[in-house]
Amino acid sequence: MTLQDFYLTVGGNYTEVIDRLLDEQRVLKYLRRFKTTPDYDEMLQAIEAEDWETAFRSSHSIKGMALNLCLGNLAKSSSELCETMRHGAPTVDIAPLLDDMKEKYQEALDQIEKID
Amino acid sequence: MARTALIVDDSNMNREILMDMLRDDYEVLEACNGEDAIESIMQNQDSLAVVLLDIVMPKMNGIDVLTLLCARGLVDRFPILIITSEEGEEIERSCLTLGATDFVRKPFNTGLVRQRVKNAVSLYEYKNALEERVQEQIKTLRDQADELERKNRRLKKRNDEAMELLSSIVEARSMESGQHVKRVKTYTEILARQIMVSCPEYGLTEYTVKQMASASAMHDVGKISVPDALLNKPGKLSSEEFDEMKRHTLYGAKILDETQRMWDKTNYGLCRDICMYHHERWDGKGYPEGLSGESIPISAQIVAFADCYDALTTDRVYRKAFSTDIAFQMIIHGECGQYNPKLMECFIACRESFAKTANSYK
Repeated sequence: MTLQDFYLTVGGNYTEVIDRLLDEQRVLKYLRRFKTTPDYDEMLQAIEAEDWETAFRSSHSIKGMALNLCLGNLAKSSSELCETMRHGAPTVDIAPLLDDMKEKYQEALDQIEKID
Repeated sequence: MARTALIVDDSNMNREILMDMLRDDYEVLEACNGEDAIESIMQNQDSLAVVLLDIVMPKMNGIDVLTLLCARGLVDRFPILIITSEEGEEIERSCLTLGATDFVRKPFNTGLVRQRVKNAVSLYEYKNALEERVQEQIKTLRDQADELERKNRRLKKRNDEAMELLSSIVEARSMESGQHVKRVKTYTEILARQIMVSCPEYGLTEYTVKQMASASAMHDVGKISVPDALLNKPGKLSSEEFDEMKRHTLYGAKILDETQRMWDKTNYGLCRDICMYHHERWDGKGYPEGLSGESIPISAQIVAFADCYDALTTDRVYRKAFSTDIAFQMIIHGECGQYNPKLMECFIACRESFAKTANSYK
């Protein structure tokens, strides 16, 4: 799969990401690095432990990375989840948002694997 | 030149993107939380050219970092660019209020951020260089002011010495005690200081009091031009001789006029007024011009008291010294001519100081 096709599947914009990060090599480097970042696992553990401060921060990091890498679907999903934890324990049921984010995150990782 | 950039972000990947962007231009340092950022800033503050700061971070967030840097006066030393995925305007306002130079939201365009960093660094380098130059110039000005002050003090000392030298020549030629000039200076200073306190309308200051006392040394310098035979004549002077003796006031003013370029303007004016007018009296019966009232310069009015009191309380070739009490009574009862009533009040207030001075020379 080309990088252009990849961005079609993750809700991103190839032209925009190249404009912002300068060239394909860099974008590929950062996408592969993204796969190794610990924030997603930290977030899941923190939610499990109801450590909302850490959960907020980790989801916020994922949102920031997703925005920079132009992973549109994940950026939107992580942002919605992140905001429910900004002030501590969520006041809404976060399960649907968490499921959605897990799906988008997995989708991003799977698609990164498919890039030529 | 400071060429270190510090990137503060808890996301490895974001730090990497920013590092790639800056590593050609800077030596790049990293911190993954606020506490590490503060430590790194304190260690590298002299070489830091720029700080890129995230907001949401563990241990200490970006706002707390900014607040601490602001409290330590470091936000003016190098530019701080906030790079965050926070969205509200409120957070941007807080950062800028605390001293952040710029606020960039994720996703950012690396080319634009690089340019923003470059602009901010240039601006700070220019600002810091200007501040350094201003500090250097302030130091130079201070040094010059100190040097001027030193020269001024030396000049004043030389002036005083020159005045005392001239006065001592006069004294050496006359039969006076040799301490007349010193005593007149002391009386002048005592009376002038009393007038400074009691009669503020004359505008005297501690500085002018000192200047007047120094200038009083010159009051009889014109006697240099009076012939020896007349100056040291025992017994009473004839009317013609007394007229010649009176001219020492004019001779003194002439000496000052002829050496005017040697004196600073204030000193010249004071010395000349004192030489010329210290024998004038309030009722116009003095000499050489018969001036009256406030048309007699205040400096000359003061020295007139000092000169008269000293003449009365020291031995003359034709009489012994009067006691300080008698001299005091003679002056206040007008036996030595009329004086300014306001100055007379001050003289009365100085009675003990004058007597003490007179007695200290006996």
